[in-house]
Amino acid sequence: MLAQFIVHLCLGLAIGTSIGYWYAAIKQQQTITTYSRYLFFALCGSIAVSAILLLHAIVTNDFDITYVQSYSSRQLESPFLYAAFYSGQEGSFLLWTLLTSIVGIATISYSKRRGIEADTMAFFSLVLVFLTTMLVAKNPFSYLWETYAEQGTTREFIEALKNDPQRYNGRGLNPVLQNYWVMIHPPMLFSGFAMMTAPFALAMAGLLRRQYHRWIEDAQPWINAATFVLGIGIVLGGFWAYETLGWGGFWAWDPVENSSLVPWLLTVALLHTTLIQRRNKGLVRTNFLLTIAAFCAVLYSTFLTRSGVLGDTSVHSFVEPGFFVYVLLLVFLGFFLVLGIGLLIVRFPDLASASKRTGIFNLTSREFLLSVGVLLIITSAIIVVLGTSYPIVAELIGQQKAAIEARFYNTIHAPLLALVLLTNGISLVATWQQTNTLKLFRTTSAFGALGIAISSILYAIDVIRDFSSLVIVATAIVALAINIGHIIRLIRGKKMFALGAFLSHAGLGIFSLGIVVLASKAETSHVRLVEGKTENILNYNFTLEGKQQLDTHLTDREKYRYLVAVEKNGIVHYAYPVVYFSDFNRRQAPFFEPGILSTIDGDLYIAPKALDIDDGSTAITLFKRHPQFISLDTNWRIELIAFDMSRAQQGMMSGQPLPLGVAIRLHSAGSSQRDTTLFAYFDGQAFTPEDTVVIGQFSFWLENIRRNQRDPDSSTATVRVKSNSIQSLQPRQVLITEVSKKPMINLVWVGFLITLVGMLFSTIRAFRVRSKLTAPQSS
Amino acid sequence: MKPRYLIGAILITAAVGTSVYLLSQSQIQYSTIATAKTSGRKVQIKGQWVDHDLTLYNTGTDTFQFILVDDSGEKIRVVYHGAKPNNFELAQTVVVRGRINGDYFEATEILTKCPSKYEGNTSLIPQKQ
Repeated sequence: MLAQFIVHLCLGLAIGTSIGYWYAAIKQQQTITTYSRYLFFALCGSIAVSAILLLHAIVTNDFDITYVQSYSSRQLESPFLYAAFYSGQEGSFLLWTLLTSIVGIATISYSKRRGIEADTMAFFSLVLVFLTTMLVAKNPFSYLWETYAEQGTTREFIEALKNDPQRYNGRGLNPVLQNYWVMIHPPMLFSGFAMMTAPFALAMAGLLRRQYHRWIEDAQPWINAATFVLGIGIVLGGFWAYETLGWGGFWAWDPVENSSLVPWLLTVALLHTTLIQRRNKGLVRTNFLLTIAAFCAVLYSTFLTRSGVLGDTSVHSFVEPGFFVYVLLLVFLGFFLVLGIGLLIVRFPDLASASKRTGIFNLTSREFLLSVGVLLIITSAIIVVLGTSYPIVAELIGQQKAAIEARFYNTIHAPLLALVLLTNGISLVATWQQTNTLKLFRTTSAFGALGIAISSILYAIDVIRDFSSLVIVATAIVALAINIGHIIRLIRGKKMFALGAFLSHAGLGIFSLGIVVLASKAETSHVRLVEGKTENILNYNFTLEGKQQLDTHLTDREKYRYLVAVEKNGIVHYAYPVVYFSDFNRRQAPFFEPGILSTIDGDLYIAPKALDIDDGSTAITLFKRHPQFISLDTNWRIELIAFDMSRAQQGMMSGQPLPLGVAIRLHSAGSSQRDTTLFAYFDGQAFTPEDTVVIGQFSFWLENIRRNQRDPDSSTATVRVKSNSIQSLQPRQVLITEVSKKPMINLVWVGFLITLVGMLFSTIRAFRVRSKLTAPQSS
Repeated sequence: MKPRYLIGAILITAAVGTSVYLLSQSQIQYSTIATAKTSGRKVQIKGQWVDHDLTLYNTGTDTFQFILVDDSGEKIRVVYHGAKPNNFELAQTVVVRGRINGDYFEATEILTKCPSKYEGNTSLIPQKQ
């Protein structure tokens, strides 16, 4: 009850804070600003209390609360109890709200020193009004008897069960989420989202106060920081998908992934356009527009992923949140879009005159090349938005609902990436305002020649195989070489924090080389690993040596680590794919984690797909009129002639298991035929083979019959065949896997990490510069 | 017109134009079994798998097949050359991409939509019905 009250209190305080700050901003009264600040702190306090209460409820197994009951359980281990906090919609909104309020505190202290607190926080607090409204609408503290009142759950019913630990328990956390990635990936992503609020609020305050150039100075470190943190969140998601989810790749262009990428692409674009404005006072409107767009992209992505509109096209699953939340999310997005664009339009005439470029926009200037690069990044963002929204748009304009293949994004990003890499490099050869065209041409063509030479060599030695790879490699080399030149120059000059941009640009070059090699050289093969048997696939020898049980202290799961020996040139390494069964799905189907053998030049990725038992026999599923080869000896084919119910009809009365039969025909290559009928007893649940029929070198028995009631002709029978010449063996375990070579995957990770390190450098530098600048004012 | 606007406009128009063309090429329409049969195009069908007994995964040939019933209630056998998707048994809805091949649907991709939480695994909510 207390917790539900506090959630409502949060909304009240958020509204109060917002009114206070707006009043202070309009009237420019310092005292009201101070009061509003206290209100804001009270808001942060109550959000923090809500978070603590939710955590407390999870830790103390308070299954009265629907949220705790839905995502936690008595069996859940301690680190994952924290993950249960944000595993559902309600909790993840609370996390987002909490992080936004923390960013709010930092923004207050930052904007206070700059004398723009009221204006900035007026906009900032609006975001919290919406977030707390969402919390009230999707209250994480609803009780079971409130949520499931319709189903007849009453408080008394729950109270009566409280002393029964078997029944008074939660549903538990999806085991797929129970690994360390879930501890860091979602909080990072939400931190990134929360941090995007600061540049937005600063931009809007700048628009309101007509400080069209100063806000850029104020917002720059926040833009850097948000880009950095959101970037970490995205790459962690990629790691997670690759290393434990076994998706086989790090990026699948899934709507959920795309919707975190778009805000990031837009802030990356913004990083470059703010640079131009700070240099030469240009792109004033673009910067406002981009900041608004980046923030609205966060809201749009929330709408896409949380409203259930993309339900059919994403592998991420979200429970439909209900119509009210759907509308609220739309209003949330619409409000900030209208607010942002509206204020921008109001100030538009003013902005045109503020845009005073001091330099000439020369075609060879760095400004110009930067703008081209930014346009390319924005184009990429637009394309991703188009593709992701396509299913909804198609439905809106009355077209057939459709999904977009990943191929679409890959095809269009190949030329875009090459152009981005080219501008990445050349813009750094160019200088601000104007470049000596001859020098630019000379340097560029020298690096271009280097790029073409290297990519030709790679093509010749068959590392890359097609034209677009060739172009991307060449441009990546250009970008890389130019940036490395700058990096060496700066390290020599001991200007470490100025390295940021060049590191990020070089990282993109390395990343691009990685994805190109990966795309051209990755190989995948299906392998059926039978215990003790060696399979030669992709030039490696794979042997399944056995399995070890893991986490034996946990009773809610049965988890095995399979030992797969991988041998090449006499050197043996082990990979450990994991298969487990969990109470979460009542052990109906196994969960899988890939085993990855990492080397410096690439990974061997072993993704389990299914389990089986091998007793030396082979199952053949037969349809009528479809003779099939016997895989043990393809000189023979087997055909299903008819189902034989004659004996079953005789035995109908007795109540005994029914003997069901299939008439089969064997065709040999020499055109001879043998007919026989196999029987198995069916007791209503399972089949028991009657006997084994020996024909030639084979033994046959009937495993089961699968009847198709509607269309008896498409019923099937599974017959097992065993060769009599092979000694009968102990049943052996079989792990069905998909094995892939991932050459140079490390370039992808290293490239992206270098990009992020560069962003970290730039962020630190941006904050340091500003703390130095404002130090005299605040003291 | 300033060259930067011109270049910008050309670039964006080209990119968006190309992407719209590619979108129309790479979209796979949702369809029913009936329309998939007549069109013969690559489509995706949303539905539910039925008949547990007819869900087969042949590990030797790596072929998976099951019976799909689409939203209009029509049934078809789906054959997929690959492993049975993880969590297939738990999927509430199944989306198959591919095309009709004779009397069955040859899937190139199977998407399973699993509930993010599993109903039923609790005795705290009385079962309706």
